[in-house]
Amino acid sequence: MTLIPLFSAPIYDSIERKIKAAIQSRIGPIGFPRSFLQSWFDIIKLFNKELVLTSYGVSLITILELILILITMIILQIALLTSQLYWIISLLITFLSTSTAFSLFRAILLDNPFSSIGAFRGFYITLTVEGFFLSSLIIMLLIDVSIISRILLFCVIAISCYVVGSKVPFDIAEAEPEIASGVYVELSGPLLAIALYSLQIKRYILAQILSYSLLKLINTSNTSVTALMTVLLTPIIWMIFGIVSAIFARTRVDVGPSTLLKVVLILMLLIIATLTVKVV
Amino acid sequence: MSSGIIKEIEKKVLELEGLIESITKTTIFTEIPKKNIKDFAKWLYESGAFLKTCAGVDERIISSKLALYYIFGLDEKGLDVVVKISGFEREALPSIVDVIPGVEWCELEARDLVGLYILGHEDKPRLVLPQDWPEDAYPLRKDVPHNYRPQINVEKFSEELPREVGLPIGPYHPILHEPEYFELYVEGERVVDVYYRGFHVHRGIEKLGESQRFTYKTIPFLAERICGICGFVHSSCYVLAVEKAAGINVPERAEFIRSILLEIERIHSHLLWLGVVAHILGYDAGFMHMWRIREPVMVLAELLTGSRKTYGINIIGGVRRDIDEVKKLKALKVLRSVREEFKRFIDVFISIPEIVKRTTGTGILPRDIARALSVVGPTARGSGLKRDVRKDYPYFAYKYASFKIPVYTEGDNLARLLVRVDEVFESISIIEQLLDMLPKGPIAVESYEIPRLKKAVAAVEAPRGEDVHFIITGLDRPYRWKVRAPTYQNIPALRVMLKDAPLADAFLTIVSIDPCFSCTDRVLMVCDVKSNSKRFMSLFEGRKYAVK
Repeated sequence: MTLIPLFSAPIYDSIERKIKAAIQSRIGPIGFPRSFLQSWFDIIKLFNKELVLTSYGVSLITILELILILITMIILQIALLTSQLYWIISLLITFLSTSTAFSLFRAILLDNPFSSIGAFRGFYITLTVEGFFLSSLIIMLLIDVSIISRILLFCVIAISCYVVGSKVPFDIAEAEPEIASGVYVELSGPLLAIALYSLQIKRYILAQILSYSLLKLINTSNTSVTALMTVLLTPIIWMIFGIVSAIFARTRVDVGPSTLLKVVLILMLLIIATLTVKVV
Repeated sequence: MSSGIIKEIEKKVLELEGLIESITKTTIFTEIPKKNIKDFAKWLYESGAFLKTCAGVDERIISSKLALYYIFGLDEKGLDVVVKISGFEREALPSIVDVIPGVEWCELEARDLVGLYILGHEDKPRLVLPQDWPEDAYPLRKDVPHNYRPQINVEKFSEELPREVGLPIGPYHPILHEPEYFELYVEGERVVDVYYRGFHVHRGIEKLGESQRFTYKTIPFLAERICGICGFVHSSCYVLAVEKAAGINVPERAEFIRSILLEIERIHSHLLWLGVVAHILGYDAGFMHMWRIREPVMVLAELLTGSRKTYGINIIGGVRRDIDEVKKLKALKVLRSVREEFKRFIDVFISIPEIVKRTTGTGILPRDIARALSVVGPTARGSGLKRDVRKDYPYFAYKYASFKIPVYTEGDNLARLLVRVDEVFESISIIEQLLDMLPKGPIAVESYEIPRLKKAVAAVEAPRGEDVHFIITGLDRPYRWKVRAPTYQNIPALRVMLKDAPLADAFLTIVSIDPCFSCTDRVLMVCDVKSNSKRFMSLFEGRKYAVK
């Protein structure tokens, strides 16, 4: 089960591309194997391309980012099977935040204006939701709260998973045309393959966290059923994210984070209110 | 055209010691002493005239002088006023840039390409020619052969690079489909200043048209290659200029066919642009659907002309292909379906919150600046200027069609977007009307003669705005052929539109004028420099040449 995301993340990405193509009246990756494996083909192709290194630091950080995301992914799989162990959840939260921070550091450390601008845009978006996301996750997974609180917590987690996954309209760090790839601008060949693979694993983790939160929302108690359901729900959540991203345009750099902050703040206030009522 | 305005112009010309060269149905040709040109330009501008362009002409063979023709358009009267000033070689001519700011580029172009000495521009860097071009070689002079290849001077590029560097965009950038250089100076996410350097594309189309390689008959095919999107506009404008100069009466059926194809070109160009805008805004579903809707329009163009693009059916005195009844019925069917699909999709498109938010209030071009820079097309109409050549100077069959000119006063990106959306519907309606009214008869004149040294100005409304061709006829080919594409007139407005705006909207704003750099850059001499020396062009080199 631990190794499933390693193979399935690029497969889900390929299927998402096929679905998006259908929404956009295109064909997308052609043929049966490519419909499921196109992202794998892309990664393999990038690994065979020339590597142009602008600094050794960036390659080190990119590899470290992948390692951290892989560790996060492994911890998450363990957490699904042993959710009674609180320290596993704490470890998951720690590695989740560290891997996100690493991907931003990678972009900021580069001496490239396009990358720096992209990284700061990534910071705006991540900082807007990161704190609320992690705290909501902790409450959801570790504390027994009322159903209303759980619904609100689930909303915050769902929004955060979508935003941290850099989907349209929140892909402002790399997809705005004037910064042309932004945070990925200095990466090429195998390094770009590693960065893209990291992003796919990260999206898998986020989809899996949301699936798990959904099961927590409906209060499933059987651990093995929960783990199995989470694995089955993950591709569904991934595809829903993909469909949502296909019907939106990219947000404005100044409007997106502020609107997001307002929405999340309102939800958090409601959560605090419901928790306070329960305590009283 | 009212005789009142002509009398007024005649009176003013005489008052300023000038003379009226000739008066045609749509144009007054005058010559003014250079000392009085500013007064006359100011008077024309205050009378409501827009600057169309100016053209430097080497007339040393005719009058031993170099001439500069300013072309103004009194849109409300449907009258062009061509004002000539001239001087001997190295004789100073005054600039009118302090009266009409929009004239700067064409004066600099005349300085670079014809070698006119225009006061006030002495210290400005070259606009059109590269820095390594020799000092005394002016490509559009008659003694410079069209295949002239200069020696480059590498030392020109050893100057110190600027210490302060902005955000370089171009000359090659994924979003720029043609080589251009923008340097954006930003504070946080806000653009505080912009530098632009264009004219990277060397093609020398004007010079080729005046060379022995081309004749009047073959130039329409060359003109159509000025642009890859609105090429038919250029060939139409060229043939219109020659037909005006020679007094050729084109059969009505040919005029209808030209108008129909011009509107087909407008529809596919606007749909292409709307798709590009959707892509820039991250709405790729919009991009794909817009281009899907555009596809039948391309197929329709192929049905009517034999080509999806670069139709090649314009000839002097008419067109080469007719539209029969079967094609007419098919065209009407395609247009009905395009209108329905476009209507359905555009309602979704302009209701997406991100698209509305990102286009509203960004890239604002105030009306007064739009007027001062004489911007054209949807850029002008989005800033409240009701300018459209099809209404102001009716040509071809537009006088028979009933249509509206969409005008929005906000001056932002949304206004320019909505102008184009409305124009798609108007264009469909125009084609339907013209197909219904398509008269019978020949599609081209049988013979014609083109007298020498006749002048004419022609303007055609391209998807991006007014396209202007100025021609002085010669033997077998134009003596001077000046092309002014709409983007040429709109680019200077970008500095105003980009300044103090969010960086993330900068590209949307650049794209909002629907820039066509290949149209704009066509003026350069072909410069295929063969040298053993290597030339390194830094990203920041453009900044040194940037015209503020």
